[in-house]
Amino acid sequence: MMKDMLQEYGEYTLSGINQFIPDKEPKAYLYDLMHDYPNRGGKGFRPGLCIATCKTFGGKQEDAKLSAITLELLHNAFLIHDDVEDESYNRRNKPSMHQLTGKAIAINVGDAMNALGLYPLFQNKFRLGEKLSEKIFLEVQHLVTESTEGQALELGWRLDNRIDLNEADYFRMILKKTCWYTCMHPIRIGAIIGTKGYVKPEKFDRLGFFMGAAFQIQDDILNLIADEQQYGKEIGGDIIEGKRTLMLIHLMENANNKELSFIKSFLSQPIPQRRNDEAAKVFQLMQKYRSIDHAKETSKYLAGAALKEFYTHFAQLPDSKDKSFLESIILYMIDRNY
Amino acid sequence: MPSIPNPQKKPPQKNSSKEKGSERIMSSAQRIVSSAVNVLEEEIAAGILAAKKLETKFINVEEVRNNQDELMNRIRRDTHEAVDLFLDAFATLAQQLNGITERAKTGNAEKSAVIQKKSTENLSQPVFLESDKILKPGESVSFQIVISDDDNEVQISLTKSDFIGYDNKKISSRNILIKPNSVLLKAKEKVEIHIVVKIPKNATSGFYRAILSDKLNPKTVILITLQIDE
Repeated sequence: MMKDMLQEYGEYTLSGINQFIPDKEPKAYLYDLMHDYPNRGGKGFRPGLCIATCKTFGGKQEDAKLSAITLELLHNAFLIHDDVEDESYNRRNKPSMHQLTGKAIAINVGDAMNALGLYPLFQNKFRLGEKLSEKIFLEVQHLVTESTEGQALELGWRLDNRIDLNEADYFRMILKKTCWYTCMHPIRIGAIIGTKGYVKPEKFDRLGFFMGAAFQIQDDILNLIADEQQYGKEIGGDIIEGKRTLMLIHLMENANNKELSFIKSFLSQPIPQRRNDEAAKVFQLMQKYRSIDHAKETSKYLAGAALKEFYTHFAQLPDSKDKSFLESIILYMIDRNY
Repeated sequence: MPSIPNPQKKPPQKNSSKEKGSERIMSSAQRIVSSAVNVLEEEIAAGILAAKKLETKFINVEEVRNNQDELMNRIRRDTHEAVDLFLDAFATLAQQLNGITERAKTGNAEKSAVIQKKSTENLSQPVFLESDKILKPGESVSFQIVISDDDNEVQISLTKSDFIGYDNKKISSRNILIKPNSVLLKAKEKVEIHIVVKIPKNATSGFYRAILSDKLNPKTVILITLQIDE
């Protein structure tokens, strides 16, 4: 049921995205490309969370549609830019956009999608009124700010080749880079719309943070051990890219001096020069120090904490399909294999 | 022969390893979740602090508080600015009022209590009527407009459209009452027209717009906008 609902809300949002993308020139190098990532079949977490939270609080699905469209447009814009920044080869089982078009075109498409994401927010005022629309606008403004700060934090770590990071650093980075925009703001926006602004959105911060952190850690684990076809990205790509995942940070905290100097030397090379056999050695070290098991446990603990938060804030609401969906999506965050 | 544990030597500790395992898991989970919560609280506090700093960039509250002369100067300056702003707003309002009056003259329709002007410009400019409050289904809202013409006798006959909302939601034009909806306006005569909109009980939330136009001069339009919140 949960996957069906994710798909339903994803397709509902996608139909809106397709309507918002202008049908005009330049098509080949801009507008046609804007359809590419959203139509590659993403998971649709963000619109799903936003719409389901809105409905759980008594709102209507249509009331959350424009905000869901903005969330998904921004998400896809971030992905295009992320793939350039991370020099990723694949996205959802296809070459990443810059592999197909070159970096310049891809960056421009991402820019245009970010700008397009503003228009549904403007349209919100005709549906929800100015007061609610302003609140949602500020939510999105904060979402974009935090996400870019998080990305800056991680890119800076890679640039400076940091090997002295700890778990708290990692939590801070994913809070900013992932959690606000993947879970915290979609839930907050859904609740604001569903209650017509009569809720303090801060009370969902812990729920969204725990969910988002569990999601990100699971995503990083899958990058190492998933089936490539199901996962849709190159397996082990994060090691090659030098992403400061919880596993890598755990390894760097536990490795001996010799191992640490090998890791530092590996990460100091430019991405294209990093060799697969060296990446495999980093992976073996992660296994040696049980870094992947540690990440799996952490993800489960955070999902447990998210469930507790969910019951605290949602238990008093009437039972519904959407409420059950939200509950089961927390477990799905750590059970998924793609 | 299997060994039998001696209760005197070693008291039975049922599930002790299991309990230790659970304790370890609990403590590990607690540590991780606490660490995550601390980061979240720190970041939220930092966010609030950053927002306040940003605010003080526009108005340096502390600096003003610490400097009484500056405070007085600021009050004077702000008062002047406020007066200037008020005058600007007043001038803009007056200009808008004149514009509406002109449109009313040309289209023979204007909001009440607006002094007429002789201009006949902007024949195609619409007049906007907007409900001040958000309406609930079942409620009504009334508008009054005064129409006039300086020079000529004019026949005015208003037609009405349905209210159209987001996703093509409609409220039938039957819910709009115009009294009188047709009038023969003599030169220099002023006639008050009352428009009442009744929101149906089954109306759904959203913004709605309807257009009233003059049958004989279709370029004359009155746009009514309202917001419904169930």
